Amino acid sequence: MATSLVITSGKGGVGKSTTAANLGTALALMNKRVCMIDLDIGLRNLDVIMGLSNRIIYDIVDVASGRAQLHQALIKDKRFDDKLYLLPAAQNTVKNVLSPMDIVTIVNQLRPDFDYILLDCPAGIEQGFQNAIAGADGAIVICTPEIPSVSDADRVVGLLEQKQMKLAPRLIINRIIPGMMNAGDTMDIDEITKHLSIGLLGIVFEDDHVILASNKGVPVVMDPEDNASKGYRNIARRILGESVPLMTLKEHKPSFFERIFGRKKRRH
Amino acid sequence: MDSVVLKGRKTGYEIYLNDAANFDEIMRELNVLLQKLQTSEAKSDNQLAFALETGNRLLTKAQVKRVRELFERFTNFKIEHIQAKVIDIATAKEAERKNNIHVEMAVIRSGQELAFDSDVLFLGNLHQGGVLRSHGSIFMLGQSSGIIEAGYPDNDEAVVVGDLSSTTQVRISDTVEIINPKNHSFDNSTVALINDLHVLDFDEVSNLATLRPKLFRKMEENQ
Repeated sequence: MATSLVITSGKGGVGKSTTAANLGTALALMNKRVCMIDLDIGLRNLDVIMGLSNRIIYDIVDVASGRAQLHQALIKDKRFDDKLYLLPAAQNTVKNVLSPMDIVTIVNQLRPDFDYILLDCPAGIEQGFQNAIAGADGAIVICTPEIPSVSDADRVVGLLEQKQMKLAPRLIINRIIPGMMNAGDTMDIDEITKHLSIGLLGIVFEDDHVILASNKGVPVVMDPEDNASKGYRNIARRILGESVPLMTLKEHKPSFFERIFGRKKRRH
Repeated sequence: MDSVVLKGRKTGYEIYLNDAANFDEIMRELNVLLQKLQTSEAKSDNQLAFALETGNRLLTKAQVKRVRELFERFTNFKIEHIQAKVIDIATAKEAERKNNIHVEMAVIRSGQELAFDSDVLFLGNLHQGGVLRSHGSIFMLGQSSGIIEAGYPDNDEAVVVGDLSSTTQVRISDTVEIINPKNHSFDNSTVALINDLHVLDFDEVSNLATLRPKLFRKMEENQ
């Protein structure tokens, strides 16, 4: 039976879809069967990040309205040998065509076949958000080390706590710029975790490769050496119950020879 | 022992309704007593008021109605008040809750509101965008970066005590102060209250005894 987790943040642009794609991929790489559901009706992009957009025939609205069977709408990611599936959102319909009951029904239909179901929540706390949390056993709240993002996350955590899910909400702090955090220009990890007073699931560093990877449709987590990728892999391991220490915020200082010979390394 | 006893007090006449007696018996004896009194008091014009004391018995609404109807038949008598030595548990609990300081440890997140009608000792965490509201005073020991609303909606006597330096707004009764730490220096001994000019003002806790003597008396009574 699958555990369903909603990935939400309140604020837009903090990396919900990117996190959903990378966590889904990381869990699939660890031999778990994962289904990702894009609930951002009208503004879907999980399929683009996964590089699966050309294969969409049916979407979640077709399933909910009975125009298609669930298995027809599921897109198998061929890179992962029957481990990773995507249920895409509709692009051409309005937001309010789905109800929370539709999502619960779809998630319950998927439960027997998967280990994890990741629900990619739209920004905001309107109908789309209510739909997404209705189908979830637990929530992963994403925030960046900026006050607007933390404040929105706080609101969302409040709403999630009212909902009383099976699993307590957990936090991912995304897009951390180590230099700024070390210099005290942004809120630090302890400060954010203490303020939101929910468990910290992991941290992910800001990384140009994430953007490159999204553009190419290959989630960054597939590159084992990348810094953001390590963050996502650690988070996936923690979701599976392992205890993994947090990554340190050390910056990479270019050595004397690197500076002289000018070979630019992308790693922090 | 008689079911109904007439007593003279400094404050006036009191009729004691024996709490061990049958109520129908009380009504009968009360009727007899009032008739006797009417004949002896007939000459005086002014109405005579009686305090009814029911001892360890709480009269039901129907019983009170019967007593009042009985008194209405005697034009020169009236009831001053009906009083018992006891109150029911629900009323007692309500009074206890209202008069005691409520200790609250919750986290109030952005968009959430927590309201009380008694004084509140707040040990939790009030986040930005959250509201802590009370009809009474609020004593902050926890973190506060939201809105504190004491004396809601119209209790001018309420105060807010605590470190308010990172609070967004303090409201007491109908006054509002937007907190700017540059304008005030805050520490744990800051108190916000409505001054004589009906303006929200800040002072030291040590001055509270002179500024709000009622509050202190209430605290002493509670001990």
